[in-house]
Amino acid sequence: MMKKTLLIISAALVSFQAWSTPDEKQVLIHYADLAYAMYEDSLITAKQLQQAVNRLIKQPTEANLKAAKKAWVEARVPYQQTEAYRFGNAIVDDWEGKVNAWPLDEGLIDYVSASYGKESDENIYYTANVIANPSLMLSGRVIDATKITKTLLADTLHEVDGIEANVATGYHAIEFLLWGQDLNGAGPGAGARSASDFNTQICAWGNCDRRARYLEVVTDLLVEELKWMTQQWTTDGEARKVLLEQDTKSGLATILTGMGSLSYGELAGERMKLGLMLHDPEEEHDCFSDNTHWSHYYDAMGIRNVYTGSYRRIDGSLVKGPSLSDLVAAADASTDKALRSALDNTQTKMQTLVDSAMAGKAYDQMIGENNDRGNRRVMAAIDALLQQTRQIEKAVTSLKLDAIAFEGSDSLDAPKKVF
Amino acid sequence: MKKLSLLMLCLLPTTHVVADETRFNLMTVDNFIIPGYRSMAESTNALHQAAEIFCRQPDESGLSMLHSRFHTAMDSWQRIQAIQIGPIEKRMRTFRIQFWPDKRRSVNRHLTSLLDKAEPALLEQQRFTNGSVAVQGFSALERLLFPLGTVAGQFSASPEGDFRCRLVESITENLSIISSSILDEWQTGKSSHRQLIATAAQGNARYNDSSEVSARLLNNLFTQLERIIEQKIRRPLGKDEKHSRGKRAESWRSGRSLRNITLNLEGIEQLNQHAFLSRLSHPEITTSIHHTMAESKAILSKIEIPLNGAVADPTTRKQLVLLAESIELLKHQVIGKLAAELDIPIGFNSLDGD
Repeated sequence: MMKKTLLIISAALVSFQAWSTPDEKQVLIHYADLAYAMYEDSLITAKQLQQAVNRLIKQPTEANLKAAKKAWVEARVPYQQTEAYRFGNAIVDDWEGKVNAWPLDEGLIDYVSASYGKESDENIYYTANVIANPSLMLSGRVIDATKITKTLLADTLHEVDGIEANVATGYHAIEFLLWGQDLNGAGPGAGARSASDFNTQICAWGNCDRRARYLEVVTDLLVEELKWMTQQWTTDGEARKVLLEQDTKSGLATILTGMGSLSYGELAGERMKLGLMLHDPEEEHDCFSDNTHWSHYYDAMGIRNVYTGSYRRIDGSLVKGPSLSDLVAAADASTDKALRSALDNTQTKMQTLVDSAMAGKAYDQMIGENNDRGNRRVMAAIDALLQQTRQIEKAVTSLKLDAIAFEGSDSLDAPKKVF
Repeated sequence: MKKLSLLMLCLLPTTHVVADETRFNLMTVDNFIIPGYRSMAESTNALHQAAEIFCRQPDESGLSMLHSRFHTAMDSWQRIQAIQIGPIEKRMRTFRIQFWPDKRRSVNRHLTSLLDKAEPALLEQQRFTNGSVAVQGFSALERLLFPLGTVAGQFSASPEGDFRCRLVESITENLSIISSSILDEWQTGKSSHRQLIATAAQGNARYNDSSEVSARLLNNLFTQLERIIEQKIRRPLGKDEKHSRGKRAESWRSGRSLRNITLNLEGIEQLNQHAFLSRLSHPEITTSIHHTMAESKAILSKIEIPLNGAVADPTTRKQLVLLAESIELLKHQVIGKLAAELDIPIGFNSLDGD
């Protein structure tokens, strides 16, 4: 009898859970758990990419190139969702440039077409082409690039001279090596690199051994970096520690900062609006592979994940727990409802971009000049992100986190200085 | 009875604040925003006229007139640049007016491609305004009017020179049309943006309440401070002399990078005064903000060489570092003390992306 009562109570508790307010600390712990799951999935898929790349290098066939590209696209699925952690968590923001720096001046890495241009106000190394040049002049000294090593790519070349467009590592460097430049402008088609670019026997553009070596090293680096970041979110990981040691209100502000900054300045602004107003196919996030629609889609999903406290893992399992949404709902149910519906609306608008790309009109075509329909679709997604940002700001107010300024480092590093 | 008076006490200040909030918002619109856009509409119209005169007979005197009107028009834009609410939000007008910073050298790429094609049809108003924003405003115009070599000859009687001049006319016309449209949409008719702000307290299609207007204005103020510090000063400054990047300075070709910052600060001062400081009952906050503003201007006025050169000179670098710090302090006073005192949320800033 006793036992039954207890069971009933716990069943009632479970069904009641959605309506009860979780502890702020629990929300933060679950946010860290979600991060761990997402980064671990990113690591798993990056290792699969690594295997596919190794097969390609061993046997540079078109089939193996295709398999490597497929693995790259799959690796982006969990990674893009982690981007909701970037702004707000300093440890992620300081690191992300190593894996997802964009846009890049790809002429630093390999051969490019003449249309790439010959001068740059911003970057003197934008045609350095390390794959073709075993010796390079960088920052006034000669760099021995005979051997393509992790150190050369990560420490010497990457962001050389503090120029952000000098991207030597990360997903987009790999993307460039797998696809090559997309020379179709706003017309259909992605980059069309041939597998023979990695075949030392029939190497049309030269330096196939160095290109293959570059691809191998840069993929190894990606795996290493993701392994490191996954560790930061384990039970005694640094990122988790930093998050949980601070005042819980600051912790909640971290989540909302990540959501808002990615929605607004980064995704709606830098990655989408800019390309649309320039009608420039090079201004798309995955410009070599034409995978941009999915990248944006999973960014939006990541934002929704951290708010609702749920994430569908690559093996299909669902991670779910106490969420920020529960806290906002307890403070002000209508704000929570409005934010959820804004997040859903964004997802729908992103789905439209995906559908268009699937039907043969890729993202770079959608932002093209004289493509009213495509332009409107992209604009609708941008507007949805802006709406979502306003709702995130309201959630901030409802949780009384206003005093916590939303612009990262200086305010968070030196709160005394600000208030 | 006691309960009732308590309730009234709670209610009274609130309604009072709402009425005041609308009043201060409108004061900002009438004394800063609309005059700012009026001056921009006039100066860009004058700029367009100068372009037409110059293109009829491209000579030195026409060019010097064009240069001088370029500066006047840019002055008016820089003074109002902070405002990012209202008609400026439509059709990405901010970027059409000035595409900067240009991290992917889009202005150069798109301008070069346009000049290479030299098809007059590309300059037809409708087509031009629907094309790449990178060639539509001040950044492209500056490249055409202040090239690295001499201007003379570039606009000579040749198909190339002629196309170049037509492009100058198209850009200036575009600037003039955008500016007068913004002015018009702010002040004319029942659906003007001024009207939306006047009726915000009851809620309307654009604003839930009048405090949303104040919050947007404060966000604009804060974002502009951030823009000056990060984009206009620190990006060209780099971490040290060796890594300074003078060409990342705004308007370096026309030699007016620091002048832009001076005008930005003037605009910020006016915006802040009308929208926020005038409703503040806290003299210490006003005093400290005025003090920091005066200090920033003083540091700025002592820098005697153009910003693109100043970043590479040890003495002037120090001054620029100080300037950035001073404006940063101002930003902290705004987002910390001022926003807290007036209980206005700051929101996210649009420059958060890379």
